[in-house]
Amino acid sequence: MSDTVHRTERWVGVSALAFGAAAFGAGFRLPAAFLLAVVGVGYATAARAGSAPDVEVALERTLDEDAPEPGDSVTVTLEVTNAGERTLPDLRVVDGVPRTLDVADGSPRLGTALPPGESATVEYDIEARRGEHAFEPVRIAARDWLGTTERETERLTHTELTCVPELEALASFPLRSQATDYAGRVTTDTAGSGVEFHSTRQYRRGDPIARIDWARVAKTGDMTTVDFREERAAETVVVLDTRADAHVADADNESAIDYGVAAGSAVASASLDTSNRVGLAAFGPRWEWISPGLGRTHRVRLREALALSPAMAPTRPPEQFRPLVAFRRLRERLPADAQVVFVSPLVDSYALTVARRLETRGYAVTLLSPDVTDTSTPGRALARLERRRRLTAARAVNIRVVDWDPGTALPVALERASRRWRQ
Amino acid sequence: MAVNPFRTALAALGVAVLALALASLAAPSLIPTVSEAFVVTGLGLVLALFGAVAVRRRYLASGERTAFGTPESRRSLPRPGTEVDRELAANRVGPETRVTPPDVALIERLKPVAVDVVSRALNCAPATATEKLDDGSWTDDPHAAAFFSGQRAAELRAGQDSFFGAVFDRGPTRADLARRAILELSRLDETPAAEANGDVSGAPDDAERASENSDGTPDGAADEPGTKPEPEASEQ
Repeated sequence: MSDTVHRTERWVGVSALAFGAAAFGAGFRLPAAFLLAVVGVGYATAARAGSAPDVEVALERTLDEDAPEPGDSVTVTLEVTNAGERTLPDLRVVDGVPRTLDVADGSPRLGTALPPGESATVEYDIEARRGEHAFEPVRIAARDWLGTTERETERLTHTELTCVPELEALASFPLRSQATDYAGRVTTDTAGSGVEFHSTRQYRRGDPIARIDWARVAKTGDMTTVDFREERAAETVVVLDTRADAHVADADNESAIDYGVAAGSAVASASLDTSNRVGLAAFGPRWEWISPGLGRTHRVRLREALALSPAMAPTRPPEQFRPLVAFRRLRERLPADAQVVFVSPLVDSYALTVARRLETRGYAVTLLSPDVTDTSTPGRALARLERRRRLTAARAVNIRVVDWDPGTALPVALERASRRWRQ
Repeated sequence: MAVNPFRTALAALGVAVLALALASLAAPSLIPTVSEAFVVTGLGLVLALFGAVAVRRRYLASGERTAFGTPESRRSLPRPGTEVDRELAANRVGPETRVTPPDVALIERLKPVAVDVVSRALNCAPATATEKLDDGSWTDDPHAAAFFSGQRAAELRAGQDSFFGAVFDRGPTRADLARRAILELSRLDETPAAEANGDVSGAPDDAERASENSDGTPDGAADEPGTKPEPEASEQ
């Protein structure tokens, strides 16, 4: 940013006083009042003659933590040094705290006079949050001795705070029965080997002896084979709703995107822990896709994408969203036998449309919806009613719904949802 | 640079007074004979005038100062439903009973939600719920009922029986009625009956169905503010 100089109009009142004193002195023949007017004129003249000082400062910013976890307090120290040859009599500095972070303690502001070569320090704490947060330019305003003129400028000093949280721990996530041909832990409707009883049928040559129902053989003489529900691996794709409409916040200004990322992270973690392949997609103006996979490297990849991908940034994307392109792109990449865990706050009907279309296209959809609505105003109450109605509509087309109030733990919401599914 | 008329006038006055003073020294006979008191008083009045102008300038002076904003708090995101609150606030002008286009849009948006909530809370069919909404029997709150039943807002004036009430109380606005209706629906939605019947109804309404194309591709244009459908060619 180029420097801008403006007048503060601080001494305009002095002119009024000078004229008043002069008029009074002339009117009442009071030399003292006239002299007072001369003093006022002197101030006004000096104020007119003043010029904004050049801002030649050196800035150095340091963070006391390189890899903080979300919620950690990170101390920021900004050292401001007058690198010029003239004193800065009135220097105001405000550090460019990233727009996505809160100051937890202290103040990022500094107001001081700074002789040449001298330094001043501003120190404050910020609360770390998921993602990569670049500091904004430092804003500086410097005034002359009388404070008449002010020079405003910005100085950029590159600093980034990067916070990559671990994938959220979750004991298990109840996947649907759609599965791949690989062995795994998802109970399917297919009869075969497994643990959970499925059916009995007439014995066929080659059936394992262990699965013959010997009690029945003893009782009736008929050879029957017990089939169990086959357990296979599932392929899950966590699709995060990252459209601008999903960038809404709850009463605590916590973003639905952040809740969604936390939930998606937990789902991915639980699925990987049970040897199911997991992929990730961002459904929004910025595209992000990670094909389903397994293993430690894949886990790291998912973790970094969830933390650092611009598609999942907590700020509203400025790009225009193209619904048709986004949906087609998603469908082209989704494996045919994949399950979809669609994570959306569901504050508009289009999110429901996407979930419903995926379900009708043959993907087993679980809709995981963090609730950021409340009833504090009529508008918000209406938003809550509409969201509830969309959840009901999703259930009506056999989409599994997890209605998650972020005030409670995700496992509690999952348990509640599982009970409903079993009914 | 813009010419400051105040300064120009002040400079002109200074030059004139100086010229007069020099002229009186150089050739006193050229200067009309005026009393000292007249000169001093006149000068005092002129200075007082300039003083008044300076006071006025000080009063009007805004003075530019650097706006640093509030970097201490992260940028806040919108909350769901804010646009409805904004619309209701904008609709506050006058307690007119006339139904405006924004009213119609709000009624169309609220009606399916209301039918859903009332049918669950009162355990009745959607058709019955619609009837209850139309005749106002779904609630004891006359203001909430009036929003759907179309009862004239003027009839809901609190003090219409008194002289002052009849003169000054013009009744609730349409926005007031909408607020009451939403809050009443919200209250009904929290009742145990509505909770228990949570999944009984809930078929998506026609408007939502209409936002899906027949080929199964979602058409978000109707739902997404600021987004436009794209031509097929752009997807290839």
